[in-house]
Amino acid sequence: MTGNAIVIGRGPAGLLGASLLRQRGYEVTVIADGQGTLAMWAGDFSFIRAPGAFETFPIQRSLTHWLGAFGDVVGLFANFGVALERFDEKVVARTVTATGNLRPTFLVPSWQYASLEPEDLIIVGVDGLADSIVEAQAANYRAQTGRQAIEVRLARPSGWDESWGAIRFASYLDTDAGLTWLRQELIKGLRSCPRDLAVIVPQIVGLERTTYLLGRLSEDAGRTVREFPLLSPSVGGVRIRDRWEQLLRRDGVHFISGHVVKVTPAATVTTADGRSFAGDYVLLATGGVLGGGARVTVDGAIIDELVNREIGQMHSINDLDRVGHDEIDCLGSGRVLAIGRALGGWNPNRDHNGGAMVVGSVRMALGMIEEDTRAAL
Amino acid sequence: MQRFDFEDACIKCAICVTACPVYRVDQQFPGPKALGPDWYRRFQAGDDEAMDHVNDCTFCQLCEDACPVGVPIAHLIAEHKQHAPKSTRLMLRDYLLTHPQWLAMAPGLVKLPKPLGVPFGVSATTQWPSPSPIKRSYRQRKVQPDKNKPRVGIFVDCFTRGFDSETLTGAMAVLERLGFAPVALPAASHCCGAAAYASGLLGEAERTAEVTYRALRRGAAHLEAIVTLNATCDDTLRIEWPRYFGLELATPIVPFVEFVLDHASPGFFSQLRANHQDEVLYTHATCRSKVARGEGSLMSLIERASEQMPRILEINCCGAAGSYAFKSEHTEVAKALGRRASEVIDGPGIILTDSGTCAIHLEELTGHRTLHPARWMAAQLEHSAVLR
Repeated sequence: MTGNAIVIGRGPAGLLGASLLRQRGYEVTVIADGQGTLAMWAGDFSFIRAPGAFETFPIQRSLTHWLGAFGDVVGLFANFGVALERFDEKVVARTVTATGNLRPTFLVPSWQYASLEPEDLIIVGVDGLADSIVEAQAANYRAQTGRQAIEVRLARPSGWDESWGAIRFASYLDTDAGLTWLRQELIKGLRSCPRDLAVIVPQIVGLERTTYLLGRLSEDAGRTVREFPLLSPSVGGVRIRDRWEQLLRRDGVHFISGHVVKVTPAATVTTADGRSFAGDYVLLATGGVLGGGARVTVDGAIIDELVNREIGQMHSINDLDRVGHDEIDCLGSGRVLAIGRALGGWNPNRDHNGGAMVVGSVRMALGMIEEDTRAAL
Repeated sequence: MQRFDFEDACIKCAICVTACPVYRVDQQFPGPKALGPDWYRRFQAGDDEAMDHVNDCTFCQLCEDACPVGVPIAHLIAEHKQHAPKSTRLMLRDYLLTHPQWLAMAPGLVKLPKPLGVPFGVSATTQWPSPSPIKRSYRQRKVQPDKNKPRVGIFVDCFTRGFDSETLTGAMAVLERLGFAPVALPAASHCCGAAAYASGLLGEAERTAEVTYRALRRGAAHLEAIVTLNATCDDTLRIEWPRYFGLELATPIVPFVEFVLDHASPGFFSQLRANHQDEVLYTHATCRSKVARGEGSLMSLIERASEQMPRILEINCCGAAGSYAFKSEHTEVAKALGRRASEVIDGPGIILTDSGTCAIHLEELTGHRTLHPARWMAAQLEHSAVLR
């Protein structure tokens, strides 16, 4: 099956939709008005209300099915050089957050720490990195798990100033000066620590040569060194985004910049500056940074971006948790399909399972396209 | 202060920071969020002190493109630049560099010895362009445009006028082949104002734009479209003029690449493909082209025009950024950004890009021939090699 497909939006759902359509032989054009939310997501795929949370997912599937779906993602990510570690259905792996909580996960990038059972850890904090408060993180980890957490603090690098966030640290660590700083500080910091504990460091270990850097650090430390994700913008998400978009461009996917103002059931798309595009199918990956396909206007109205209508008022940030779609909002003909967060009462803001949402909805849309194409034959 | 939409809408997601090319290579650069919306909120509260390094922004606008809530980040940074203290000699330099229309009238000035510019903060090492060898040849053409053919204008930007008339003649040849009667305009050297805006000289940008608007309006009355060769001028004429200066031309403004895609027949593309090309073709849509229209159009054009699959040059901003690379304090950042281009090219290649200043910068840093797609297409049509 071949044809033209238009994907609107370049967040995780948009890029996954574009990848899977391209794999099926479609000419794909991605039209987007912003960068998309990949930079706000560390890259782990979770159902946070584990165990059994997947059963309440609006797309009813068994956990085995879900893990199979995640398996496809593993293959795709490998194509652009991000190794994902997958856990089987009998166990629930947990990753450690920047606040020292444990987050159940089924799939994490290989740079991120995850373990099946809580274990004693060495937690590294970096001076001058506002997101990493190692004392609080370690204290909470100890309280949550009853395990040991040894705190190690690294002195800030010489060129540091207040503008340094995680992205700046990561760019610095891609330089040789940055690597030297981290190696020296880490070796110094670990000198008096027990040798058999895993080491977790904030997610700042480079944007471009992370695997190499973590290998060098593990070698120096004589222990496994992995990262824990920080608050957004997430270095992990930027690594994934940059590699993924690069692969799509190499595969011949065309990226168009523009604000889409009209989509018709006949799968035509018009942008605000008057350009029009026609495809056989349109995927609306327009969930948006705020999740649930919602945009908040200056006066507090929450607008459903998919159909451009008001769906509530926001008085506090928690109000977003109550907002979601009740039905799959396609435009009637079956040629325009919604993917990503904007789907069936699903609420990743509340449930922290946007990754599963993306995979589930994109696979469902692709299934509908396959069915539609077969029916047309 | 300009009238903006959503200037106070920042939700502090910092996605703009992840999109900023300067932030990645310059460890002192505070980034778009700090320089744009964060500064603007302080400014609104009465604090008009400028931050260090605000002038290191290239005004590529990738931050603005990335923003999920439509904050005019780059334009807030341009406002911020107005408040940055500057020495008299740098003010003089910037005033000259932000009037490229003057340089376009006297391009031979670039042949002056480079050390002369050093005391004024002009980069001693950044490659300057060469004046057009066949300057003004497009005006000497005696042939009257065919009255039966639809007339289209070609906006002659400052760089093309002074340094790259081959691109203009190439674009004219292509448009003629597509059945149009192209007219170069405006008649005299005028700037769209982009260079002044990028340097934070907003009043100057507006005055420059108004003069050019009047010059264009006269010539554009009976044209089907105004075709642009440079992505920054394109975005400035089509988007920024109406949005920030209230200057709206009745004639549609269309980038050359899209105009060809819209009007060329399959036969035209097969003529282009007939001239075999050994080198790999790399497309580099400039930042402003990515922001306003997306890099997919240039890619589509070259896919159709070439028998081989072109590759996208995997970089964000090349660092040229109009006059940015010619300022001595920016030389290093400009080179650090451009060097990434040479890292991604692994064999004989030609880079096709929709900006003259990006072209000379990329050519200098990669050693690969870099030219405007119009010029490449014209050479393909004539079955001539694109020579050094």
